[in-house]
Amino acid sequence: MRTWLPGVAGALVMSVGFDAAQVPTFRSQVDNVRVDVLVTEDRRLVRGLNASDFEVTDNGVVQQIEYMRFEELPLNVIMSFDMSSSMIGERLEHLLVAAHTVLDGLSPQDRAAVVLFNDLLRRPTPLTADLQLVRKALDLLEPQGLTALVDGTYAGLTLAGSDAGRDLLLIFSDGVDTVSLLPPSRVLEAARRTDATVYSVTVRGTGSQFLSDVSRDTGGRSVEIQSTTDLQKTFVSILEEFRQRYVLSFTPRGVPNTGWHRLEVRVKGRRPTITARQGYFVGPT
Amino acid sequence: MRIRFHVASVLILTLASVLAAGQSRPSENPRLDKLKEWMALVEQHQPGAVDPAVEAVRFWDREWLQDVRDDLYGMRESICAAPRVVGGGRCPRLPINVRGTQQLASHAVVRSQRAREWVGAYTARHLADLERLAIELDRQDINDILKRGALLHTDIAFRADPVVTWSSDTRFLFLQKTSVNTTDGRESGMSHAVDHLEMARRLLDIVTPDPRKDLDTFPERDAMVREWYRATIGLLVAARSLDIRHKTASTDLLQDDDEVLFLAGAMHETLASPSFQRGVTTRSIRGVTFVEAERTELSRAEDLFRRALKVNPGHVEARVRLGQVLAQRGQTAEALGELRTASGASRDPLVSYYAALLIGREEADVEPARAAFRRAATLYPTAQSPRIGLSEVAMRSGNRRGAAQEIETIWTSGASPSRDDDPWSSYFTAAGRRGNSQLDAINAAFSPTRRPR
Repeated sequence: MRTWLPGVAGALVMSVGFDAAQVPTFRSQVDNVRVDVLVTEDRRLVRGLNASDFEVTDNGVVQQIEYMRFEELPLNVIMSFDMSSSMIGERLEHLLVAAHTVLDGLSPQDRAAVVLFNDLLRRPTPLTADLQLVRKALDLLEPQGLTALVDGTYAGLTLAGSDAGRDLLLIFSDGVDTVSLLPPSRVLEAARRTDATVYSVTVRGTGSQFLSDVSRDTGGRSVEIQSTTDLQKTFVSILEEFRQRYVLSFTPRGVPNTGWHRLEVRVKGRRPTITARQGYFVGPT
Repeated sequence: MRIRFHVASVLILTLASVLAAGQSRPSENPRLDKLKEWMALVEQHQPGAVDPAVEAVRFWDREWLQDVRDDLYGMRESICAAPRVVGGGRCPRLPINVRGTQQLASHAVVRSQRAREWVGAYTARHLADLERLAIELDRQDINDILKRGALLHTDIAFRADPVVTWSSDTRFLFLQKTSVNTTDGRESGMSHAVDHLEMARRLLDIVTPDPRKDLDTFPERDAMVREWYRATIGLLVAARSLDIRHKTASTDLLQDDDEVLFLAGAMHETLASPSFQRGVTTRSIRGVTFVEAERTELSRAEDLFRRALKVNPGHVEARVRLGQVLAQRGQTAEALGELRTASGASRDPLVSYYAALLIGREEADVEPARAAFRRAATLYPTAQSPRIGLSEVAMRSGNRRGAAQEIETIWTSGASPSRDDDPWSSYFTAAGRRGNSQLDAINAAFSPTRRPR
């Protein structure tokens, strides 16, 4: 969960700035909580909502929504891809086309990064607005080795929160985790400490409970595709969906500073489908 | 020659022999010629090499190999009873296995049966031919031939491309193995081949360790046989080639061998891993199960590691893996106890590294976890895993920036990451890392240049 330093100790939330250089620093006290919310009715996005339409509770305590944004914040798209040996050939080609299409859909203020995982982790490019750099890195990919899916997810999560942009962690894997060091439970816990919204894509028959869990917990979605020929349209739909989420912000009040905070988001007077992170964790475990 | 292994794994079910007995062969000499040809190729073979002998014998079909094995058994029996060779004339009653049929017989019985053809499988003429061939050898030579033959078939099993074989026979067949192949945690097909490792095993089953004292076959008392089992099960573990039948044969024969028990445990530990639990869908063939549920595999691994430690409490690597298995079974406190004990006793950097990483992973408290990962980083400074662990420890202690910085050290380390820098990815195969050198040592002892005569 992103935390914002107040200008003066004990002051209320510093208004959100969008300076890319601004790096949030962890404090044991949460100053500001941001929640990415997808609102749908009959599988269609619900637009035109205002802050006053939402109700957010933190551990059951209703919070004051301080601002709401829609399609305004820049995106940080972190693409964490399986580069194990099973990706050789057609699967890699489909993945590259899909990844380039994601880059095509980014705005000049958006940034992207690539994390690759097999036996090893690699980050060919840092989070950058220079998308040409990312494209070049994608063209050099070479699948080999085993699949450290959980470690790769974790590495992607650590790239989140580097600036004021909204973090989309887009994970693709076609196989079973065979070599990660970290247990899934620890990475799920790490995910609850970050702002990143995880969208995961797997190929039919290789679905990962871990990816389903981390996607659900961060308010994202896990998608199972029939084959990698569906990757391009899946990535496009994820990016479109992510852009059209509401971003709500509040300063927690009436709840303990540390520990697990269960979040609930509602739209007043309606019963749409709400997809948002299930909570956030602050402080030591 | 070093055996190279790839990511692909092979799960092998060596099919049980249920061939019917009593299939007669022509009483002419083609079968004996085949035996002589095999013996000549064994003589020519340089153990450890893919030489013309390997290239020739690897194409032999199962029937020929079965005949060779049975005839060698018959020769051994002939030698045993023959007064003209060392130790001869003292033949005990032995259970003999001819074409899958167990019958109790002694050479005297055999002799009396010759007229009626030996246990229905041998003609009198063939038996006489075998005896003539046997008399040319002494008992030491038959041991030597059996061992060299086993090494030839071991080289075929590990160093030569398998020759596909299949029979329309619905029964499981002698010397046929069925392998379920997996690649990167995914089942990628099934193959059938002649099981040369089983052939080697069956040859060694006939070994008599000390011809002057032993009247019976006691392969488990023979140093070469023991080393061979250690080497081959190690090679299988290193190759993720999980031949359950070979493992079972190894542990049945060498029930008190800590290394064999350890390697067998490592095999079950690997079978419990996600690669096999999620990657293998064909878990049994014709009613024979070769991948059990994760909890069953972990339970078997735990039992074998405990047995290894009972034989040798100083087997540090068995203790590390026992700790890992206990952690997988949710017994974290006991797991950490075993891991800490192992960590304190280990002199092998690789084993210490695994112990440190596993302690770091399982330890709920931040400081001991961090200390363990730091120790791992000291042992393998360019490895990624300790950095990942340290990052996660920072994250769980609430220090997101520290977590990001630890991961950043991976990205900014300069040199391209190499899997050789981090042994974590080879955890499941590392238990068998000594197999190659063990087999090399056996091969060197049986090099033709070191032949005693």
